[in-house]
Amino acid sequence: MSPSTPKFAVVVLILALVVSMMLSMRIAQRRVVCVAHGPQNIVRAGFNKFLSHIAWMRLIQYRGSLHGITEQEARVLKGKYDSLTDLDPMFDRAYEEGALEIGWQSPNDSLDLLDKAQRVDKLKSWRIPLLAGFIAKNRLNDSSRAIAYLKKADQQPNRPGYVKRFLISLQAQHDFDNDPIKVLHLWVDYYSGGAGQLLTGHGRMPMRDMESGFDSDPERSLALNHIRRVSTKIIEQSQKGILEERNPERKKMLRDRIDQTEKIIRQVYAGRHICPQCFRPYNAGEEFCVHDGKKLAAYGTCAKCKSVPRGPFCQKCGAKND
Amino acid sequence: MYDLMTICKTTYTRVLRMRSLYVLLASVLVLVGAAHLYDELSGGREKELMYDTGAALLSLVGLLTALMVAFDIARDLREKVVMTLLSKPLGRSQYLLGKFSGVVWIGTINLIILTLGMLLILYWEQGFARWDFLKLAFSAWGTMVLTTAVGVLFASFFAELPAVILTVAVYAIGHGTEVLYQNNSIFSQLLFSVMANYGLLDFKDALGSNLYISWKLIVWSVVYALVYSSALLSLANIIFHRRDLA
Repeated sequence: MSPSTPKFAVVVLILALVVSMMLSMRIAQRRVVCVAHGPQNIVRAGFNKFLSHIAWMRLIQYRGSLHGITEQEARVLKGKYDSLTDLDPMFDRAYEEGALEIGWQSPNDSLDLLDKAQRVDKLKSWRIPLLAGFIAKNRLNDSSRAIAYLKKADQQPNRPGYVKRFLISLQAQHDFDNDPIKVLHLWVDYYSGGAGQLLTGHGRMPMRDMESGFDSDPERSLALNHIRRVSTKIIEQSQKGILEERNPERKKMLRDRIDQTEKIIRQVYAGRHICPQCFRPYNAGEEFCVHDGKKLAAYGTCAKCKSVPRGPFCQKCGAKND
Repeated sequence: MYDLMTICKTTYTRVLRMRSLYVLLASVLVLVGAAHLYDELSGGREKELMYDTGAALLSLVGLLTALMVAFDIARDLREKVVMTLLSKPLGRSQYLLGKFSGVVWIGTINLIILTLGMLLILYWEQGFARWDFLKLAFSAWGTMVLTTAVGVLFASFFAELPAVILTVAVYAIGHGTEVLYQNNSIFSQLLFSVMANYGLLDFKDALGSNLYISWKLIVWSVVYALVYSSALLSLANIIFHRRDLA
């Protein structure tokens, strides 16, 4: 060491370098879990977010200059949206608008963009996988892919109820021919707020809603419609199958399917009397279904005059009823 | 200590006399304040634009202020002003530290003015106080200190232009060193730990995207900037002591 070298500076240099090496590793470790990481981490000297605003404003101008979007222009747009989201991977609106803009002309590019968004660790949006599911189903007619996207959307926080309904509808379309009872269970689980909830009594229809046959909760009411529709379809198809089928084992399977369906619907209505055709509950004394005219097994009537008694004695003929 | 303060004060006063600096700061604040006029141009993202532009300008002002040290020391060396100064009872270490402190001082004042202006503008335009902007301001201060130290290091053995270019290069490269950390090889991790990791001080993207960043992490990253700066200043000191100024 030269005599002109300040020893104090050398000591400080070594100490500070060692401490800064330890600190940098420690901070990087903590930082990784706090900041967002996209599939392409482009660095622009810390001005990424500011540059993304400029790219966004230029993109808006470019979109305004287009009179229509051809397949070629869709690819150009995809490139611009890619560059923009490389700069700001958390820009959820860019992914959504980009996917919607090019979704018709270039659905695969559109799904690429939405896949990129789903690889950003801190971007928690139910809209992005929902949109991907919508495009996969309606533009590519790929139900399996759409179901996979919708399952992701269904795991995101603050998702609205229609995400789950869309998912079950797709699963129902996809799986009905193979396993209709599974589809019925999907709707029943949605109606009762989770798998197995119905059997514990939690998901059953509230007594106040029994009369009308519609649940006071609009989400549950919609699910109930689906349960009725699927049940009707299962029974109709099974009955038709029993008539046409010659294989006794297959006939037995179809009969079991009808029994299972009726059992499930009875559980949903918690032992209420229901129309065997439309699966809606009916009131005491009613002999025909008000919804479909089906002949019903009347209950709660006076044994003598067939009116519906309001107390232990019939208000019309005075007969005692149990 | 008195000599150090004299150099610091001289550097500070010289910069403070530049009226263009105040005009620049006022223009910056007006520019950010006018961002709400960009509502149509930005497709309804004018609030985000305002916040992110303010954050970017904090970094830019910090960088430009820090670059002054590279110009100042290199010019002193070129014009042999340093010979006059060092002929007095003033050590080379005091000269470097004095220059460093003077620029950090003026940089701190600039950042305070800009931060207060930005907080007022954000409160005025958005209707509530964006206290998280203080986190950005503090990390921008750490970045400015680190850049000043890099500038002092390069100015101690390079001419003005190379010193400034190298300082900007280290600033730009330093923002991308996280890639080295993510690479699992020992060499990459070692390289990461010895480089000037500006990325560790950059929270603009995260805070602009409303992600939560704790004060603890911000303070630790500024501590890192101060420790690394002291290493750079020590290295600059060693080089400056061995340099033939004649």
